[in-house]
Amino acid sequence: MVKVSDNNIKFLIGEKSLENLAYEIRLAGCDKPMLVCDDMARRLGYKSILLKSFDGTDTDINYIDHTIGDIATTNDCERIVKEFIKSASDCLILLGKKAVMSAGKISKIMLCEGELSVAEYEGKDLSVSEVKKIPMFVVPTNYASGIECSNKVRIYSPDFKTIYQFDSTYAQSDVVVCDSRMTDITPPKAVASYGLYALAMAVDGYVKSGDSLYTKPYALTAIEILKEHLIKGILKVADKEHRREIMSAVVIAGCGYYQLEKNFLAVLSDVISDRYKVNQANVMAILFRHYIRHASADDREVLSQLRVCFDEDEGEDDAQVVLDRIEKIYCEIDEAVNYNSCLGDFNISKSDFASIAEETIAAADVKSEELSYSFIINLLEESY
Amino acid sequence: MNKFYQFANKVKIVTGKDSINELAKEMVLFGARNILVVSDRNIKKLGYIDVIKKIVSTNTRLRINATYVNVPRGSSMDTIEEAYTLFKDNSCDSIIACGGGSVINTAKCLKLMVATKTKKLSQLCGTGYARKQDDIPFGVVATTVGGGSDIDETASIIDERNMTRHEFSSEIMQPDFCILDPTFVKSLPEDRFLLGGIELLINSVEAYLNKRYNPISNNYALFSIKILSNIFDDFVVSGKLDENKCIELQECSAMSGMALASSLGGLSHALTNAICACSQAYHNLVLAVVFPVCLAERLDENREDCATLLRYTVPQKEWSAIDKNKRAGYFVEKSCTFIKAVLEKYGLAHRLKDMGVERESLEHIAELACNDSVLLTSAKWYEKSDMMKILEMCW
Repeated sequence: MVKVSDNNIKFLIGEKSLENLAYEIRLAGCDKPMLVCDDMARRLGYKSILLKSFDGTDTDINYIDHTIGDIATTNDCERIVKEFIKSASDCLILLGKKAVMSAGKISKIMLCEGELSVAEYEGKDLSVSEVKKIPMFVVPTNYASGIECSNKVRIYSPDFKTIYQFDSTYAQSDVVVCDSRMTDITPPKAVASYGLYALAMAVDGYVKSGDSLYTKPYALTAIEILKEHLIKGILKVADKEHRREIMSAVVIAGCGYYQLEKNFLAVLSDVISDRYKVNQANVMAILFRHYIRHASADDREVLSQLRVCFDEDEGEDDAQVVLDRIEKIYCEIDEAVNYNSCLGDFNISKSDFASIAEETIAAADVKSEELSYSFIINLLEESY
Repeated sequence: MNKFYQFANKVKIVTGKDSINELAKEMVLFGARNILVVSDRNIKKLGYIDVIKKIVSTNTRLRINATYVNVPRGSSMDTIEEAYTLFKDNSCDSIIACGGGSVINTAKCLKLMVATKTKKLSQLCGTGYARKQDDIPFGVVATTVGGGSDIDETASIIDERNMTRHEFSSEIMQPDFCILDPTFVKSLPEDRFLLGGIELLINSVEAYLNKRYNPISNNYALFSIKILSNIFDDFVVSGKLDENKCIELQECSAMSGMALASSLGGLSHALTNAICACSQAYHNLVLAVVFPVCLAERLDENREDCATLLRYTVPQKEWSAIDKNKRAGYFVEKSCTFIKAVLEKYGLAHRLKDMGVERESLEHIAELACNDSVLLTSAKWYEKSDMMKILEMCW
C-alpha cells in the first residue's frame, strides 16, 4: 500500500514569531501579500500588531480585506479572488478564526484553478491538477481552529443554501504562525472548549491513524503540550504563554487529525454543528469524552501506547490508565470553569436524536461499526 | 527554554511497495516537463535509471532530456557545476535524483543554483539567505536508508581545489517529494541496511538530546526511536527483516530526517563529519563507532532525557521495574549493545584505526569538529581537548 504524507507546512511558534513573517514571504519569492482578516482581528488590535511586524522590512501589505464575518460564505471567496487579481497580489496572509481560514483556503483553490465560482469546483478531483504556487501564510487568533493545516475545507453558499466541501492540496497553507500576542483576549471558557477539542483531535487522531505513522508525532506533541498547559491556561488568565501553547496544540493536533480520512466523531460533530449552528469544536470536545470510553479492543490497544505521554507509574491496564487521565482532565476543567460541557447546554432537542443519527450514517464516507443507529443514540444520550 | 521554535517538513513523502509508480504523477503535479536525472554509476548498473525512464515515459507530458551519472562518493563542487552545465545545455526544467546522500546533495545544490539563477556554486556557500527566483520541480528516489538528506535543507560538499568542505543550507534546496520504495533498497547488503538503521537511531537520539526546544521534532525523534526499537528487537530474535519492516525502516528514515532537520545533530555528528572529511571512511560506520562513546561520555548531562528515551523503547512493565536512577544507563547500554552486535555480526570495523583514519590526523579532526555548525545549538560548548578525548577512545 502506498502512503503519502503531504503536509508540508512550516510552523513558527512562540514569542514574537510574527516578526519572521516578512522573511518567510520574501523566502517564498513574494512581495505583494494580500491580508484577509475578520473584523474581530481588526477590533482587538491583532491586525495592527501584524502590520507593525512588517516595519523595517521591504515588504508591505498590498491589499487588506477585513470584512469576513463569523461564518464565511462563497460570496466572501469570490470577493477575495477579485481583489487579489485586481491588486496584483502574489500571496495570501490569513489572520483570524475559522471563517477567515475557510474563505482564504477556498479563495486559494479558486486562484489556482482559475476564476470560477465556488460551486463549479464541487466534486471535481483537484488532486490531479498541477500544483500552482500561491503561497499562503496563516496567523490564527485567540485559540485557533485546527483547520489551519488541513487540506479539508467547508464553505456555506447563501445563494444555494448549502455547504460545499473540498479536500485539495491547494487548500494547504505554507506557513502557520502561532504568536503569543494573538491570544490576548481569550475567555477561559473558550480556552477550555478549544483545549479539549485539541485533546479530542490528538487522541482520536492517534487511535484512528492506523499505520499512518507520520501523523502520530503531531498527536503526541499536542497531548504533551495540553498535559502541561491546559489547566494552567484556564486558571492563569493573565499568562499568555499557556494560552499560546494551547493555541499551538490546537494547530498541531489539527495538522495530524485532518490528514486522516474524516472519521465518525468528526462527521457527527459536523452534523450537529451545521444543524444547530453551534461551535463544532465545542461539540466534538463534548462527544469525545463519552465516545472514547467505548473504544474497541483494537482501539484500546493503540490507546495504550499513549501511556508514555502521562507520567503515571501506577496501573496495570495501560489503556485504562490513559482513559482515566483523560477523564481527570475533563473533571479538572469542569471544576475550574463554567463552559458548555454537555449537549444539553445547546438548544438541542432529544427528539432530534433519531434524525441526527440517520444524517450521520448517511453523511459518513467510511463504514465502521460505530456507525450504528443504537451506538449514536447511546452516545448522544450520554453526552446530553 | 527557548520561547520560539520552528518546525518544517516541506517534503511530500510517498512510501510503500510500488510507490515508485507515483513518480510520473508527482513530477507532473509539481509542474515538471523536461527532466534531468541525477545519479551515480552503481545505481545505473543496478538498472534503477531504466526503471525511472520507463515510468516517466508513461506520461506524455514528461521527457527525460539528460541523465547525469557521474556523482562520486562524497559530492564535490566541480561535480555540481558539471551537472548544472548539463541541466542548462539540455533545457531542463526539473530534477529527479536517484541515489543516496551524495547524489541527493548534488541535486540539492543543483536546484539551489538553478532556483537562484547563480552560475557559481561558491557564491552560495554558508548558511544564509538566498531568494528563490524560479521553481524547479525536484523529486528524490531514495536508494539508501539513514542519512536524512532526502528531507533536510543542508548539504556538505567537498571543494577539491581548496581541499575543504563547504556547507550549504537553504529551504530552496529541499526536494518537493521523496519516494521511499522498498524495491530500491533491496540491493543494499544486509550490513549496510542495518548500518542505515543504526544511523537513524543515532540521528533521532541526537536530535532529541539537542537542547534546542522543539516539541514537534522531539516527538518525531521519540516516535521513530520507538519504531526502530521494535524493528531491532525483531531483528535480534529472527535475524532478518521482512518487507514490512523494511518499509517501516524507510518511514523511520523520513521521520528521523524531519527531527534532525529541525533540531540539528550533536557531538557524534560533528565528530563524524570531521572524520569523513579527513578519510575515506563510511559516514554511518564512523557514526556507529563514535556514537556509543559520545553517549556514554555525555550520560551525566543527559540523564533525564536518556530515561525518557528508554520509556519509548521498552514496555511499561519493564520500564516500571527498572530502578529510576538506572533508567538512563539502561538506555545507553541497550542502544550500544545492539550497535556492537551488528558490528560484530558482520565483521565491521570497531575502531577508527581500522577504517584508515591516521592517528596523526586526530588533532586536525578535533579542530574541524569544534567548528562544525551542528554544534551551534548544543547545550555544551566542546573544547578541542573534549574532542581529542573521545577520538582517542574511538581510535
